[in-house]
Amino acid sequence: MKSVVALLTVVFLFSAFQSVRLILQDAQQGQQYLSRSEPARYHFMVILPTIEDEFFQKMWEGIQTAAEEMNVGVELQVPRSTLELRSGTAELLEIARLSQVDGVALYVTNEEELTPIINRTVISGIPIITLESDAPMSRRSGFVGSNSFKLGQEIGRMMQEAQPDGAKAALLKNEYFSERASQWSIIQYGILTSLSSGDNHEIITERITQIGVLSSEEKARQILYLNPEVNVIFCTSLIDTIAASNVVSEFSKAGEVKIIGYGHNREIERGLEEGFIYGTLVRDPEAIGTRGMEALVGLNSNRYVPSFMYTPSRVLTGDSQ
Amino acid sequence: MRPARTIKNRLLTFFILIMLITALTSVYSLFASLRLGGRVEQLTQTEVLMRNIRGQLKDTKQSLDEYLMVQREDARRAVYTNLEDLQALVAGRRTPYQSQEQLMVKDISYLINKYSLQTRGVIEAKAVRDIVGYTEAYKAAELTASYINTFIDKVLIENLNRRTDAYRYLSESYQQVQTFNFFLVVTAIILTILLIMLFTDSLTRPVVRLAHLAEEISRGNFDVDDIHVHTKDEIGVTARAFNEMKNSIRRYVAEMKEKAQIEKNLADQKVKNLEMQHLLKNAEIASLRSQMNPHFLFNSLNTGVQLAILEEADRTAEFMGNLASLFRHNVRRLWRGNTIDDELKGLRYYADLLKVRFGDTYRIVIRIPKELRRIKFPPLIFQPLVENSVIHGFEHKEGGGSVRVEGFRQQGKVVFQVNDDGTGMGRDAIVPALKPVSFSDEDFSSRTGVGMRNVVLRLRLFFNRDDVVKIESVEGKGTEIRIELPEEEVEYV
Repeated sequence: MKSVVALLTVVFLFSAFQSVRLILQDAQQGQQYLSRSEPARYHFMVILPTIEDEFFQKMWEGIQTAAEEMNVGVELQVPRSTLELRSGTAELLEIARLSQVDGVALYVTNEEELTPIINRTVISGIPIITLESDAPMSRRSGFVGSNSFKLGQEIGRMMQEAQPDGAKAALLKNEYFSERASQWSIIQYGILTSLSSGDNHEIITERITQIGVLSSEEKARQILYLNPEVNVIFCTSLIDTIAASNVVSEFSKAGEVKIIGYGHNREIERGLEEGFIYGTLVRDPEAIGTRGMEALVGLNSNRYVPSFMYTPSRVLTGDSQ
Repeated sequence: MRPARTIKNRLLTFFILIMLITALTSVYSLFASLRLGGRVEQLTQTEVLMRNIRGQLKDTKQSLDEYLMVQREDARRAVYTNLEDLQALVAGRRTPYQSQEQLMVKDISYLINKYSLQTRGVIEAKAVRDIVGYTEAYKAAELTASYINTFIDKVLIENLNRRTDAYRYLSESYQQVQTFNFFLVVTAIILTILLIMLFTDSLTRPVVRLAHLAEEISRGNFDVDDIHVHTKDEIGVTARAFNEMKNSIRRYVAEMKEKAQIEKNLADQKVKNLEMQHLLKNAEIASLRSQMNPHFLFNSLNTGVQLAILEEADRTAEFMGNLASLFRHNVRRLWRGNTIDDELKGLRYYADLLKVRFGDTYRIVIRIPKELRRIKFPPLIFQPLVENSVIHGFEHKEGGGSVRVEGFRQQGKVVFQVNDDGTGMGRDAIVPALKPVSFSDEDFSSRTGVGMRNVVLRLRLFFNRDDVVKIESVEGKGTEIRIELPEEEVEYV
């Protein structure tokens, strides 16, 4: 009887101990779901066109990591619909201005439309850092991203390498780029500078894709139908690259039509290994996000922040795998 | 003796323990439910706030529209009141936090502030009939209101996501809590029941045992084992006191029994003493009676001795002189403490008498070591025994005989024996001689062999032993009378 009592006492005390432990554990873990988070030093708004693209997801991860390290509150805002990308971004930027946030990190979707709002916001005392996509003519406080001219040169070089006898290139231009005249023109300039070293290289056509894989595939098919002489397709986003490689495969033109991609993920890795994709431009979205946050904190702390902060980019080809 | 732990204290401790176990489970359940309630309220706080902001924004817009239509003071006041209420909802929400939800609430707070300014601008422009101004301000306010609504939606979506995660977490967390709570309650119930049983048993068992023991003792059985109670409370004290009481009574009863035995022995002794006294009285009477005879006899013997000397009858004179000495000795020894040595003196007088009377017909040999001669011994023992041998032993034997009186130590005993080489005694003579009779027996004096029995009886009484005298006799060869005294019972003078 006494041993049963002892056993039960042990079970009882164990249950009590476990219950108390659960309460204490719950008190710690429950905070992140239930109560307010820790106060932050600054409140920044990050406006991105989408969060479904892997590139932007990585960028957002970089932003979050940096924000956490620097104890900064970051609010991610994405336009409600891709159909209202321009107006949506402008509206969010206006809200950021009215909300008197401490800074905005922005992926410029429409340079022309956003420039005056960027200017108005900066004048009202809110610093703006553009991420990867720039509005160089605006009063934005700084740019963090890849060097567009260098990117263009790399793309041109890859086209030449892919088709040494003459690259007949088609550009599958994502709509982000289509609205960013200055930056796109710099990339184009870089491509052309690189291609000018060979006589047989030229850009045959350009197609603008909307966000989403359907649009990308449709435009890739259009290129192959309407311009059968095309032997190089340069894509400006991950989705475009994968969609184009799928379409090339569908048309049984793998190896004949070379894909030069943009970005890097598993699918592209496989494309590179199997030869569907000739090469790809790999940027570092996490670094872009992190440096963007550092720049905003620097601006709020009255530190010097350069106007251009380039992040590294590299080229991956099937050979380098 | 005051108990170290009283029953009151034990009961109090026990009840407090039970209460604590029950309270612990109840408090834990209460705490868990309160916590759950608090968390649910926390989770819905933001949603409630957003609903209130949306409602208040709608009210403000309605009141503004009404003012713009009627332009009454009360309508204007209603707009301001609504604006104040709207701002009050988000007061203190301008601190930046790390969570998206809270950052957007902060945005809403600033947007409401802006909306408030714009609305006031509409009223002021309307007041001065600035149509373009109030139209622009109205549009701007409408746009800000739409921003606010947009952000309310975003906050609600974010809140919903958070709540979904939180509900999942809470559900898992509380499932675990409930599992342990279940264990806690079940074990607490079983534990409480067992503790109550144990405690009740520990409290009542000694009492029950005590009752049984008391019952046994009331029946007079004191040979029961002690009750062992290890508690230090009143029951323990009672049990120990009970044991002590039982043992005391047992001891007392044993003492009483012993006392009774002693008293019985004493009574027996008294009877013996009385017998002895009776014997002494008889002897005294006999002595007193015979005192006159000895005096007369002494005087007569002295006269006889003188007469024999005058007539020059020397042997007669010697005989009569010895006879007078023997009588004197015997009479005197009756009233004084006697030893073996005294006995031997009397025996020598008797031997001298025999010598005068019978010459060398009878030989009396005495061999008793000196150290045994100081032993206290009843008077007139050896002389009657020797006389018995001479009279009966050699009665039908021609040519006389010898009687040996010896004393020695043998196997822890002091032995005196009188041997003769006479005709011996028959069994019919030995048995009555050793028969344990008392002086008070009426027929004592009427029996034959009075001298022998007298000697045996006096020896038994003197040494308080029935086996002090043994008689062995072989007809035709002689008789041996053996007096055996245990060494430790022998007294020396």
